[in-house]
Amino acid sequence: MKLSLVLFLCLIWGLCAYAQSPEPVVSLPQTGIKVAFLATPRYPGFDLGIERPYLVTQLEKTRHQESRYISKTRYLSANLGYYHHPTYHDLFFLRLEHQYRRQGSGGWFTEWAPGVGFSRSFLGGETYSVSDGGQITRKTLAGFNYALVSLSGGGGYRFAKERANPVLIYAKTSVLCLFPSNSNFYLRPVVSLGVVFSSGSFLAAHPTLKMKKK
Amino acid sequence: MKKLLLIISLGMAIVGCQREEITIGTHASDVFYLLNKGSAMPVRVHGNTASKTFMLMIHGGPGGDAIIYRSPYVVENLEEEIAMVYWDQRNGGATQGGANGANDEVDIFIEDLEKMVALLKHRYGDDISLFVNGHSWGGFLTPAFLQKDQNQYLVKGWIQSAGAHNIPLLNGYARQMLLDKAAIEIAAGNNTAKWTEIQDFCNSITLPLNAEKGLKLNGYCFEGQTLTPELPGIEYNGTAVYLQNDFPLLQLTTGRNSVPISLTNWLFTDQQLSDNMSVITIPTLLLFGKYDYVCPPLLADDIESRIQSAYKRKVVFEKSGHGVMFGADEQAYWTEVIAFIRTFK
Repeated sequence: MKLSLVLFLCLIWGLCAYAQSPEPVVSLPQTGIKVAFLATPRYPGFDLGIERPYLVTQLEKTRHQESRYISKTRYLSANLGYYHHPTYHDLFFLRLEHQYRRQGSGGWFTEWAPGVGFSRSFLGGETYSVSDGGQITRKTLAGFNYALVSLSGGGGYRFAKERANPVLIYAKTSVLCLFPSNSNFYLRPVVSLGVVFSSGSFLAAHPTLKMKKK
Repeated sequence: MKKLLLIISLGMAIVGCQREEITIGTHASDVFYLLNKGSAMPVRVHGNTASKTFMLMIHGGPGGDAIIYRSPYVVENLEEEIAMVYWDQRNGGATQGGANGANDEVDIFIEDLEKMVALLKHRYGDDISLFVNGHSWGGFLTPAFLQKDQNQYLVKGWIQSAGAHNIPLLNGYARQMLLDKAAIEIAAGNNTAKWTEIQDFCNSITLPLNAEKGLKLNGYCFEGQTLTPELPGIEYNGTAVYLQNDFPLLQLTTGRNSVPISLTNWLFTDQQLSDNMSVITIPTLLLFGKYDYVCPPLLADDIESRIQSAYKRKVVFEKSGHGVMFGADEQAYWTEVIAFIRTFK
């Protein structure tokens, strides 16, 4: 009887153990398309991009025989941003970001991302140059190219997290550092409110999956 | 991908196609840029351009900005009658551009100002009456511009507002003013520790000063103003002015970058324009604050005694320091300015 009981418990334990092994608890993230309203913070703009996961680490935390799952995903993200600051400039910026997203067992997530990129400004008014001889020329598309580094942080909510193609909403703040600007650098905070869609089939990603237990 | 590139190009083209807007009217609000040697300097023209009378504000710093002078009083009173021109100098205000590190000498600023005047006449007509008003560092740049070649004949009049045209003289006057005031305030028991520190510093220095000592004295001059009981606090909401004019607030740090700092260091190595002041013959208005230790009012006497202008007027405002156009004497200051302009436009 005792032996039967031990065998039965072993079987139950084995089934449970099998149930927890290599299958990801949350479906693997896919390439997402991001669309965001951007504010800088007084002036409007937009941010469009694509994020592609390449590494997913799923962490199982067990406490009092209860398991919680945390998913940490690394993405490479490419974004095109724009804002309009009247009388100052219109700025287009292309950013590549290395995005770190931490998804809890609920739908909430946090993320941060360092980025590098390139930006092009268009001056917010007609622009003239005056030659040494006094001849005045009006410049079209006058503006400057700046290198850019950025740091972003924020969070959001992932709807339908069990589905392969969930929708995410997010809010994040970035600080753009444009250089060289006036022989120095120029800092510009931007806030974005956006949505990430993933279809699953568009640029299908196959991120490496790592599972860890704690 | 091709479509995306096309959309980006179209977007850039739409943004870039800026229509030339020159407003001749009683309530103009034009913003345009002067591009010179890697720097795009914003120029804001507000007010009555139909009057054909323009006053160009030449701001302080180096590295300051011009829009700060656009106070509610100026909007309501001056812009109704004349056109005010707020020009941000290179590496200051809302100026944009890339690496601009070599352009840290006054000659390039004079060239910018010459081109600025040419541009204003190009846009608003050769027949405009133009006045230049230099404040603080702008009070060095303006006479430097006027003394060069025939530049003074491009303008109808010069207003010197608490300007710094002679640094050795300025240092001497500032030191003496601070010593005099420190003695009074220490005797009265007001801010004794700070005034004693200022007094000790002033007693420890010998003229002429090197740039380091000169700048330290300059710092005490600003501090001295905050400790002067005769100076009422200035209730001026600069942030509101910046926001109303879409000024990029984070560019306010530009004045602390290496180029204006390098220019300031150059200025404080005994630069002076007194020797050549006698070439100036245009109408001149000298406006200073009685408690301005930064640019002491005695500097006005030096200009007054040297220029050859048929008309020169000096006014020292009793309740003002260095920000002579912002404080308790704001109305009196602008009344003097507008009276001068009405006379000589």
